[in-house]
Amino acid sequence: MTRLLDKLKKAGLIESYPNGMMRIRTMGSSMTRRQFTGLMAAGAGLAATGFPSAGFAAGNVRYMGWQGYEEAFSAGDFAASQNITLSPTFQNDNGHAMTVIASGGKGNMDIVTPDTAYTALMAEVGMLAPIDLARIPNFSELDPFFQNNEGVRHNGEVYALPFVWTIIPLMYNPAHIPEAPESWFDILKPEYKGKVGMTNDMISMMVCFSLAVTGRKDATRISRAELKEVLDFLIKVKKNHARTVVSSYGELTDLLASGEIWISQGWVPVQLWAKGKGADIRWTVPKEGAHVPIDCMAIVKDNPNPDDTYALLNHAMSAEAQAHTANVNATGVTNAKAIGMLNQEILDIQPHDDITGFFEASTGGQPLPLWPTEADGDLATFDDVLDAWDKFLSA
Amino acid sequence: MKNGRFPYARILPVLPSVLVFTAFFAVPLAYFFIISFWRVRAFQLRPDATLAQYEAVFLDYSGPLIFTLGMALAIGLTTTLIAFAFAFFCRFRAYRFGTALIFVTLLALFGGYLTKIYMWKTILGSAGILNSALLAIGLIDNPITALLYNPVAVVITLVHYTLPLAVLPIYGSLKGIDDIPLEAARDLGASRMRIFADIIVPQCRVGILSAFSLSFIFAAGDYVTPLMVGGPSSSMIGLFIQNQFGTRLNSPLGSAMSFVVIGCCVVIILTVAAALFAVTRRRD
Repeated sequence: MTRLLDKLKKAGLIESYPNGMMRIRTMGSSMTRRQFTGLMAAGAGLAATGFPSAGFAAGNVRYMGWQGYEEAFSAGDFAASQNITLSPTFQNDNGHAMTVIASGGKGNMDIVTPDTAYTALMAEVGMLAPIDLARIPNFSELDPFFQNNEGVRHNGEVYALPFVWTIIPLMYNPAHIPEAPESWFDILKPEYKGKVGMTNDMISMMVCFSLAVTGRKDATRISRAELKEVLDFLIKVKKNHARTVVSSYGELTDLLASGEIWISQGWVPVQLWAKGKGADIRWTVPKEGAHVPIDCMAIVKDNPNPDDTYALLNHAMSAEAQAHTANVNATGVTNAKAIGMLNQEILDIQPHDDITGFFEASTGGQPLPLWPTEADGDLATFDDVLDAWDKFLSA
Repeated sequence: MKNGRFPYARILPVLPSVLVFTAFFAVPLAYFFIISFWRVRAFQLRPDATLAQYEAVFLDYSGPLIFTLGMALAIGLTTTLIAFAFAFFCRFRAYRFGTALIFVTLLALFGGYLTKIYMWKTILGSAGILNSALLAIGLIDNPITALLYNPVAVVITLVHYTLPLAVLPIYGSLKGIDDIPLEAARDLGASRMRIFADIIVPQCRVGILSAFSLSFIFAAGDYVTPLMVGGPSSSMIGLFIQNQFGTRLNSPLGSAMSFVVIGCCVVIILTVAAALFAVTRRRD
């Protein structure tokens, strides 16, 4: 004991007083057992009563989708006026939302934003709930082209509400390419070598270059041999012509605006963003066509807050909400009345005068469905396409 | 426990970190390890006990895996060498400015990861600072496009990012070296090289290994930098892992890829450690 005391004193952990008392130095303020027990009891009580849960609170709607689309809910101060709060999570791609739903999202999520290609698949595997159109009166305001779209239906029921349509065209910098390219194959022109951009947007890249290489408008119904041709073409462009595979459309905007890239598969809002950087970047639909997806809003099966979800979705289909969202995101609207409420700069970059005709020229009339998810003869499946994409990335 | 009483007082301080480590690292890791033997059917996880995912990793992704490990090794070794030189300078040559220089190194950690990536894009791009400067002084007629969008740009960016992380453990080890043996060796006629090789390096092996491990592991797991500055043929394995968990909805394969990367990293770090300890044996 004496030796221990000596060691403690030597280490400076014991302070001796003249009256013979000793005090052990501790780090920070010491705590009595009663204080400790009290603290633990308070913690247990807090845990038992539960922390405030924003996710399951009444009036809270959980949204997982493309960033910017949630603008529709706040348009006209709608969500706040209904005492609805939104818990948004933003997705990288449609597969992201599917992964979250499959791994515990069911019962915890309300709204997702699949495009028409994914809707039937998500409905089939039980991720989406059928939508009662009687509770979405604004659906009747949508352009008939979108109301009648087959991509949002599965087994006769509607599973998604067409919300936004947008264009994945060929983009170019007129300072270096004065005439609009007529074909996707123009990216192979020797004078553009090292100035070609590609994007890390799998669906868009595979659709656009399948349209080009196969010459077929039903570009998601191609054989495995045709898929191999598409992959070979993509690898050829990547190895011999591409400057880089950009990680985002924001980065593509920078590279097009700076002249690092002259021509690339792109996305219509890039034109507006580039204008903000003082650059004139334009887009064109080549003769082979382009990818024109329709993004929707859908309800996750067993969602916790159906009433508020329906209220938000109905508002999102209104002209006011759609125009607000499109003006913010530079996308197209599906509500016919919303077209007249769009800013001129949005109308300049995304045509709304002949939507049916535009789809006809781009994809043969309808947005393309997803590749088959199950083997169907010699048709390339979704898995085959994903494998091809990984081969493209690793080449 | 000698007196039959559980040593609560000793265990209590580490309890929060043990709980955090268990809940947020060990348990999720165990979950992903288990599902790496499962399958996905109709986009749903199906329990199984198959090695098919591991087979797929080696058959379909060996190219990106080898490229990633090669890049990480190059980044780890380059970073460690530069970090050692800097820390050595701070400890033995900078005198009273050594601590200030280390503080400046810490400041370099501020600014974040993406900021540094964009910074290098701004420096190395065709219209970037470097090309503009070379054009302005007439050294080149056209911008050098080879500076950006290639594996070298990835190495430069990641070495820059991981350098402060590598300097600290090496500097910590060098600070722990007592000056007395160094002076004694000098008095006994040992050359600078002999002192460096026989006294200094052996005593900071742990710091060197920590620095290498930190930079190597960070580089092996990164996929954003190659995507941003690496050009068309610099995709690293992290991108494919991310795709499995996202677009491909195949978390079993993503998990298997992750564990293969972890396993390879452990093997490489152990090999580097063995080599380091063999080359720098202490001469007691």
